[in-house]
Amino acid sequence: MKNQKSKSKIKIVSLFLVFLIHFSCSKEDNQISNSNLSLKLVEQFIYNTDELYNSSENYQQKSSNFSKRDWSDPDFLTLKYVFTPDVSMPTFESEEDLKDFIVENHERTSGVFELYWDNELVYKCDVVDGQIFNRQTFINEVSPGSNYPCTYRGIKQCAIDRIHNLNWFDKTRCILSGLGCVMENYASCAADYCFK
Amino acid sequence: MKDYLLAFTKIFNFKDNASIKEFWSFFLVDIVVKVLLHVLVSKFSVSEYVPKVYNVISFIVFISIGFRRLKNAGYSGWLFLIPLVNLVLASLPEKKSN
Repeated sequence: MKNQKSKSKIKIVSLFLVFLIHFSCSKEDNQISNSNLSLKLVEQFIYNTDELYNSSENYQQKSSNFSKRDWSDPDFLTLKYVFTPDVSMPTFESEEDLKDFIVENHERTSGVFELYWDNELVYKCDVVDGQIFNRQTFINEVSPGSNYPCTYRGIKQCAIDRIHNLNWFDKTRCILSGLGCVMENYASCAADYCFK
Repeated sequence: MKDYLLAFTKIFNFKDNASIKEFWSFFLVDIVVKVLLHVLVSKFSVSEYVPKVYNVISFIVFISIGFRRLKNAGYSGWLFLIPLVNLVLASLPEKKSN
């Protein structure tokens, strides 16, 4: 009787843990979809040409750091875009003039758009007469925040990124070993970034 | 360390029993070995295949020792395939035989 009671308790705990894993994984999915969304917004950004600004020479690259945070912020990220026009563009006196020109002549806007995440190229496309062609994403090849500081936050972020970037086999191994996998990644991150 | 090495000798043994000490010794030493291999690869240019091969072998050992541990605790070994639950069940004491 006592044995049956303890077995049913274990079943309840097991169910609770399975639900816990399920919900924690759902949260991660939302985070991923949010990051995809932000990339799509950036894409619309080009169409709308909201943030392009003028430069002194017609063919010079136009770029902007539109999101930059430091390590004191837990959600550190450096995101930068660069647009290199193919065609000759007139010189403008203000950003507003440039904006007006591009909005009115968006079908004549051509060039190469590049998006950098922590100075690594993650997205590239060609803009030909206002249309996007030849989209290339390099997200899988990038390890975000490739240089982590030797702080608790830095090591934690490194471990999270490493676990996210595991292949299917290592992810399965990681899920089954639970805390062991987390400990392993924390230790290897600390070894990499605290003992250079 | 002795328990850790013993686990490797029983790599394909899913039927016998494994004590709590045997299981957790393997679990902890395995983490240390993986971190050491990672350091060897990143700092001393050891081939990347070394930790990869070790990971595959140690994963099989982990599953087999887990099956044996759960059998020793009086549960089905298949429960070891449930994440987190496996470690909880593996911590339970040995089932007393009648």
